[in-house]
Amino acid sequence: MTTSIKNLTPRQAWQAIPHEQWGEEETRHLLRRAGFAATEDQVKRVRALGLDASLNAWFKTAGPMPMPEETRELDENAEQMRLTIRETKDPEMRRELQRELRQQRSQAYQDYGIRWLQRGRQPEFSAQEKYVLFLQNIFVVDRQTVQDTEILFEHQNLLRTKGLGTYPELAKAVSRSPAMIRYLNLDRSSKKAPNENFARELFELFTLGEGNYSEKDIKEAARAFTGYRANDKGFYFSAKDHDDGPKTVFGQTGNFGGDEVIDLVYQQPAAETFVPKELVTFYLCEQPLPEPFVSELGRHWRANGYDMSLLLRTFFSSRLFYAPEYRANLIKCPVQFYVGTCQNLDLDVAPLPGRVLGQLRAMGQEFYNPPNVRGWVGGKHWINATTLDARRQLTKSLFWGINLDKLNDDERRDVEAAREAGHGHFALTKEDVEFVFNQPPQFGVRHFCNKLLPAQPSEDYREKLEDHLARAEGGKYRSTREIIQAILQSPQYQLC
Amino acid sequence: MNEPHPSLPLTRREFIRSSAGGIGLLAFSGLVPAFITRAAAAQVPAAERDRSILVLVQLAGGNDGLNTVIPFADDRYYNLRPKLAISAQKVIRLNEQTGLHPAMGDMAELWKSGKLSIVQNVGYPNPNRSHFRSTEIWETAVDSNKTLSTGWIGRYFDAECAGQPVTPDPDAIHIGNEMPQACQSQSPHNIFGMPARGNVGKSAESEVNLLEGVAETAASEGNAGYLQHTLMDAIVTERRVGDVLDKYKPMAKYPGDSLSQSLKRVAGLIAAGLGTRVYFVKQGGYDTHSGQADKHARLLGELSAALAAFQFDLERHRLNDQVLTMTFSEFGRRPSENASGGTDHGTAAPLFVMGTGIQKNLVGQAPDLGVKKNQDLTFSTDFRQVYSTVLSKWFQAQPTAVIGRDFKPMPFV
Repeated sequence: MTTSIKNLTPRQAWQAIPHEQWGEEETRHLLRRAGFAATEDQVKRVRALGLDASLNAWFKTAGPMPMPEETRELDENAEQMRLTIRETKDPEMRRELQRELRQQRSQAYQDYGIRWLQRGRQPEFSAQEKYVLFLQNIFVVDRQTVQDTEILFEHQNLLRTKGLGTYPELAKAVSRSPAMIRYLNLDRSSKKAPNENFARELFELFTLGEGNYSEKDIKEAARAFTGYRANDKGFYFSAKDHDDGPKTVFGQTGNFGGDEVIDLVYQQPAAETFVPKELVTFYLCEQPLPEPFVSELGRHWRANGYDMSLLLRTFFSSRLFYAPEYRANLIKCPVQFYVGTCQNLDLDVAPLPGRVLGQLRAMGQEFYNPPNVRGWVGGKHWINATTLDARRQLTKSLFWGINLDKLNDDERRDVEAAREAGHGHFALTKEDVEFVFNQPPQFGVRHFCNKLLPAQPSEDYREKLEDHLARAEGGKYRSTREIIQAILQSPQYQLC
Repeated sequence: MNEPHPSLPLTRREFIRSSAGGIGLLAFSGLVPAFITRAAAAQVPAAERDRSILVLVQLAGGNDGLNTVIPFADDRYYNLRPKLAISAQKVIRLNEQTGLHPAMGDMAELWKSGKLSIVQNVGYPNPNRSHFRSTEIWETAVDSNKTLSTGWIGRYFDAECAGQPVTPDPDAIHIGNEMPQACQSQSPHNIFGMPARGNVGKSAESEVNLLEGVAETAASEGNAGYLQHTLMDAIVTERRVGDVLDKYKPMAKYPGDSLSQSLKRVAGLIAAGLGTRVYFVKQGGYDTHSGQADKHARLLGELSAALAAFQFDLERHRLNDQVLTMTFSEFGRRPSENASGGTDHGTAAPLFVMGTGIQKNLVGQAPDLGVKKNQDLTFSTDFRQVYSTVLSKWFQAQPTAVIGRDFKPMPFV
């Protein structure tokens, strides 16, 4: 039995959970919260490895994701295409070329979306990719504004590879990320006309939070970030656009550049609790923790140089993380709902962007395209009549086979390649579930409840499913399919 | 209902089967989950015919007010906007000082026929320039240094609906994949959302029944309770709404953009006699930091055509007396244009109110353009004064309970 937050002091809360308390249920909790699902294989693996070694494997370092083929091709061709467009005089031809470029971008974006989901689907990358999603929801950029897939991709890779170092260094790297430079208009910010967009979001959404800076701090900081530019080769600094005069930020005056402003941010008291609070909302619970608990974690984080790897390992091994009040009550984000369901049911991510990315969008989490600079709010906000309906539709599509005749050439090639690579299990077929047909209904219901739900359902819940299975209206496959759908659509399955 | 200890039905279906008219058990609504009382009410014929309905149109991103309602007679406007100003020749003139963006021909017609009112220079003290925060301020209707988790529409429902019979229909319907914060409330209300396009409700009845069965067993509190509640409400509503939209024959031609398509759906639901009081639609893209001229013209053109089609449709259905439509945006933009052919986040901006109940078509003070470079406008009408007017004059509600303090009603409705 783990200890409730009510019986923990802030200091005890962030101490490592005693070894004997970290049992199978705690392992499942960890896998569902840090990753996307607790499958039997992963539970066994993590139990065998132990808590510390598992966290080290996930959160010590992360390598880059290889650039998807289509993104790479686009990257190689885009410069030439832009040049050709510029030199084309005939307006009709020009429009045609522009349309072509847009289409290639869109295809590369979709391909990237699928590859990313496929990567997250692999259990060894799940925790890392969920953490990337966490960082993407802080250092928000969106596809609509950024447009170029390779720039989006590089931004995400930056978060992935630098996200486990110190947070101030990460923030500095992000200020040089071409995607961010474009998204928050740094590339249009000059000494003559400083644009405040980046400076404002840096303080409000990346590091300190609302109320911990003044409008004047923003205006002055904006001047420090003037001259940040990006071109096809990446970041560069345009000295002629930079305002190198003195600025006063947080009461300190100097000829600051952007990095120095970020260093000043990390002398502010609010900086130490901002990221821990975000971590709590994303991984633990919607309601903020009592202030002393957050402050304690923040102090520990600051004392360790704002190291993210340490923060994550402290968090996921803490007594507080395993406290009984945080079990099976966090609403899964759509990405987790989809990827976790694939893991639970041993399905592969279908390389069908139209279907899969469309489903994510309908559930309220379009790949790399959050609603605004604040990102997705999450929690209860994931759930409304519309998004719940989209979740229901998704569970139905898990039973749809793929008709190769209806696919375009690219899709057919991708589906065939995935099948050849042994990742072609895209739908639950009769063969997948027929092992329950000759068993009593209790068996099938218990099997799928155990596999899928984050907590044991009530007797009543089981009985309704058992009755349905026993009646077998429309045949055993259909009734089995319907009980799996009902579980996946039920309120209980939306939680982790 | 004469039994001394009536046993409460366990499921929605059982309940409807067991009580002929359904209304009897409403007396127990404190004991019965909301979806049951609502389903019971669904058996009752629609109560009210003459409703006052509010349609909110959010212009997301911060609409540039100065290039929407244009002070074309003021040289200072042209000095502030050397590149972006709309020339006085192109402006659609409403009077000697004020005109509309040339893309807003349809709205100019509405104005001329007395169906459109402009509330000028609306904002709030100590303006916030963050999209999220300023949207939140508008939706929660608080002072800019306070935060509240409930929205003004949600609090209106909290105040109005307490103790009243529950209607079978959603209290509010939003189109788009996010529930507006304006609808957040203390006590749960039925808020339904749907996309601007595509089907609503498409599952086989046997599957829906099984899902209802298992969902009823979820814990009734916390996130599980919230999920259960939302799911049950959605199931009841989608059956009805899907049916209504399938049958709707619009009497106006709506353009294909998503704002127009959203409003078409709203018209259909209103025409079907839903008890829903508030509809919420959204048009995005107003965050015009750069390359504003073309983008803004397109957006205003879409807005103008969509509102005109909607109003025309309502009129043809003789529903126009029941509907008031109002726009809002989280902030206006800065009077001085920036160096990127755009404008940065600003403060006050005009908003539009449309309907046949319009009393006066230009209210509030126009903005004072005596600002220095990069200085912002000072609002002259607090947006909560506009809300208070809508609440008291349109909904006949007591605005103080919703807004938190008194504002003088305005003469637009």
